[in-house]
Amino acid sequence: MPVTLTSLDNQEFKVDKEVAERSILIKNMIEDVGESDAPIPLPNVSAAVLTKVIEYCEHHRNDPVQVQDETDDPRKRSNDIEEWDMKFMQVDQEMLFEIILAANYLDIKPLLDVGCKTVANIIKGKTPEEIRKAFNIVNDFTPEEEAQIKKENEWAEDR
Amino acid sequence: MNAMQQLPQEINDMIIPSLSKHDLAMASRVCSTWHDYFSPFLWSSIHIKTQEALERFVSAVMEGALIRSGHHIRTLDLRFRDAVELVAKLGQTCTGLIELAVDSRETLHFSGFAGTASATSTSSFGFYPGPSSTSASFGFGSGATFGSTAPSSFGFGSGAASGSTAPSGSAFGSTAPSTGAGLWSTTTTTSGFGAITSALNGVSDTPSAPAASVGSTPGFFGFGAYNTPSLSTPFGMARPPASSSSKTDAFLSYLALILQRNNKLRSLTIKAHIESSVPSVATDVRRVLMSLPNSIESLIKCPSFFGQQNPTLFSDASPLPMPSGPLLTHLRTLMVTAAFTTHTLCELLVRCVALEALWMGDTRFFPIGMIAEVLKSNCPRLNELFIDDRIIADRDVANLLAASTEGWRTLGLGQIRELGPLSVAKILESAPSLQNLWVDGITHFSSRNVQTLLSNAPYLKRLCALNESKGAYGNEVCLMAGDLLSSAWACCDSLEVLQLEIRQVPRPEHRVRTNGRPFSHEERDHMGKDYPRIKQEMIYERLGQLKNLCELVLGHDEETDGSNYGLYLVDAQNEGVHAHANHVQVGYQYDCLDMSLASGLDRMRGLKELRHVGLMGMSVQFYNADEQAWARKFWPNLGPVEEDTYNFGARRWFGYS
Repeated sequence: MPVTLTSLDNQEFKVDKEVAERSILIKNMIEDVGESDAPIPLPNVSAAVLTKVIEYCEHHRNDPVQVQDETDDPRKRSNDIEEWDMKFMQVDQEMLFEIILAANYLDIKPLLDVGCKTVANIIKGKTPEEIRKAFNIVNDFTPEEEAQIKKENEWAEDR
Repeated sequence: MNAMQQLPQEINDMIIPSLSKHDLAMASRVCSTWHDYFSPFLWSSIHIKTQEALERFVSAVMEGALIRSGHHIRTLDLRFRDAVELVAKLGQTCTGLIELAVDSRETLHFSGFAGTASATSTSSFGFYPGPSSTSASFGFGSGATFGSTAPSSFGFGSGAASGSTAPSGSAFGSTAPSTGAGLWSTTTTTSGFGAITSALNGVSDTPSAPAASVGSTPGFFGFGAYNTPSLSTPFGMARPPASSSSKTDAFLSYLALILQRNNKLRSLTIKAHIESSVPSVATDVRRVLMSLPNSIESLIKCPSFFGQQNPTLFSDASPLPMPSGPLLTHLRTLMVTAAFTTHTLCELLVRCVALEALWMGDTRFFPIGMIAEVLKSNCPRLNELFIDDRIIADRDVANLLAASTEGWRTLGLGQIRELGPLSVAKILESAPSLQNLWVDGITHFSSRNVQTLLSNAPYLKRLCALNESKGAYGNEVCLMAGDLLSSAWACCDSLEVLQLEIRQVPRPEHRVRTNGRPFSHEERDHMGKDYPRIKQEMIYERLGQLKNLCELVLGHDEETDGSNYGLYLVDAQNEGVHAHANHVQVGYQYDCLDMSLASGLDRMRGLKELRHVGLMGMSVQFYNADEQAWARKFWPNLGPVEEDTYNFGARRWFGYS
C-alpha cells in the first residue's frame, strides 16, 4: 500500500509503505494513525531534500534493520561507506547538511550515519587551510594567534 | 556560511568520534568558532606514551597550553616522571580529571626538563602545603598573559625550551619505550588476568593501545588469560637502574598535588617503583592516599616492588588502624601488590567502606590477619577477591576468604601451591553466591571439590580452571569423569564459560595400548566393551545441559611436546616390563573426550549459545567435515575452533558479549 508524504513546499510524494517506514518517525506515525489515506505532512523537509531521502530509502528498502553495535571503533567506521552511498552523498554541501538534518528529523539512522561519516571524511587528513576551503570558512585568527594554537596543539599532530 | 554550526550539537557529536587527534588538532586551527568547538574534544584525553610525545607535550605546556586548555582534560595518561612533574607544576587548570595514570619511569637522555627540575624540586618549590600557595608561587596567576613563555624562575630554564627541538629522531625516536601498557590497555588482546598480572609485573610487552574506558568497575578485569606471568619473579631483578628514594619522594609529592586539585577523579593507576621501606617514602605514600578524592572508584597500584620488608614484622596482633583520612565512599576497586608498608594498606582499607573488589598480588607480604579483620568490619560490599602468591599459608588464605559478609561473587586464585583444607572449605562455602571462579596454577583443589562446587553453585557463570603449567606439579585442578557423573550440576542454566580438564574419559576407538597390548579389565572392561562410548555419551549429555554456555575450553594433562612422557608413565605404571618409551605414539591419548559424532557428540546439540570451542592439548580430530556440518546446524554462533594449542597466551576473553 502506498503512502503519501507532503513536503514543506506542499509537494506530494507517493511511496511504498515499506520504503516510507525506513523512517522511524513515519513508521510511528502510521502506527499511531492506523490505516488511512491522509497524506503525512513533513513540514521540516523540502521537496528537493525529500526526493533525495526517498531515493535513499528506495535503494535500502530491503536492508536488515540496523542493530546498534556499541563495540566497534568509530575511528575505523568512518572509511567504510558503501559505494552506492558514497555516490549518493556526492552533493553540494548545503544539500549534504540538509540531508543530515532531514535524516535526523525523520529518524533514519543509517542515512544519518552515512551523512556524518561523509562530513567527517571531508575533514579527515586535511590541513586547516584545506578545511577552510572545503567548508568555505573565513579564518578569523591573527597570524600570531594561529601560530600560538599550532604550538599548543602540536603534541596531537602525529597520526 | 560556517557549515558545522548548521548542525545541531547531537549530530556534531556523532561526527567527532570519527576524527583522529590529528584531525581534531587541524580542525581546531580553522577559526575561532571551530577552535572553541573542537578543543574540548582534542584535549579530553592525553596519552604520553613515548619520549617523543613527552617532548612535544612539554613544549606545548611551556607555551602555556594548559592555561588555555587544561580544564578540558578528562583522561591523562602520563608514562613518565617528567610528565607528572610538569602537570603538577604547571597544571593548575587541570582540575577536571576523571582518569589518571602515572608512571615514575625515568626519561632516557632527556635533558630538557628533568635534570634541572628534579634537582631543585622538593627544596625550592615547597609543594606542601597545598595547591593554593603553590599556584601563587608559580606565578601563573590571573594576570599571566596567554602565551607568555614560562618564567625562568621555574627552574626549567633554557634547557626546557630546547625540549621541542632536542635531538628527537635518532636519539630517542626509535628507541622510545612504548611498552608498559599493562592494565591501561585492557581493551586489546590481553584483557583479564594476563593484563593485570603483566601490569603487576611491570614488564608488560603489550603494544600501546587506547586507554581502557572509565566505566571499568569491579569485575572489569574479566576473567582472564591463563598466562599469568606470576608475581614470583625475584624482586631484586626488576630494580630500575636509576631510582633513588628522593626521586620517588618527589614523584609522590607531584602525584599528591595533582590529586588535591581533582575532586572528580574516578580512576587512578600508579605504576611506580616505590621504595616503601624508606620512612620518608612511606610518609609520601600516605600523603598520596590522603589526597585521594572521595570520587575515586578504582585505585590500581602496579609496582615493581623492591626493598621488601621482612614479612614477620607484620604482626596480626597489632591493633586495627583508625581511619586516617576521609572515607572513600565511591572506591569500589582496589588493586595492589605489596608496595604499601605495613599498615598503609590497612589504613586505606579502613576508609574504603564501599569496596567491592580487592586484588592483591604477592599476598603473603601483607598483614593478612589484620586485612581480613578490616575487610570484615569495614567493607560490607566486598564480593570480589583476587590473591596470587606461590607460598602462602592455608590459614591466611582461609582468613581472607572469610572476609566477605555477603558472599563472594568472584574469586581469583593464582599460583597457590597446595591449597590447604581450610581454604578449600571456604571456597566451597562460597558456592551459593559464586559467579566467577578463576584458578591458575593452584594445586590440591581436587576433582571432587570441583564437582561439589559445580553441584552447589546455582549462579556460577565462569569457571576458568585450566592450568598454565601442565604436568609440572601434579594435582592440578581437573574433573574426573567419575566425579562429574556422580551428581547433578546446579549451574546448568547459569554457566557461560567453562574451561576445565576433564580426565579419565576412555576413548572408544583406542582398544589397545600403544605397545599393542590390551587394556586391563579394571581400566576398560568392567561395563562391557561399549563402556568407553557410553561414558563419552554421558559426558556429552552433561555438557549438553549447559544451555547458556558460550565458551567451552577443554584441556588434557599430557604434554604435547612430542615426547608423550605422560603416556609412557601411564604405561609404565600398568604394564611394567612391557612399557617402553619407544612404543608411545605421539598424540595417542587413552583418555580424552573424543568430540566426535561417532562417540555421541550429538548429545551436545543443545549448546545453542556456543561461540568458542578450544581443545587444548587434546589429540582429537574434532571438526572433521561431518562435525563441521553438524556444528553449523546446531551451534550457529560458533566462531573459529582452537585446537591443540598449548600456548594459551593472551586469548580473546570476551570475543562474545
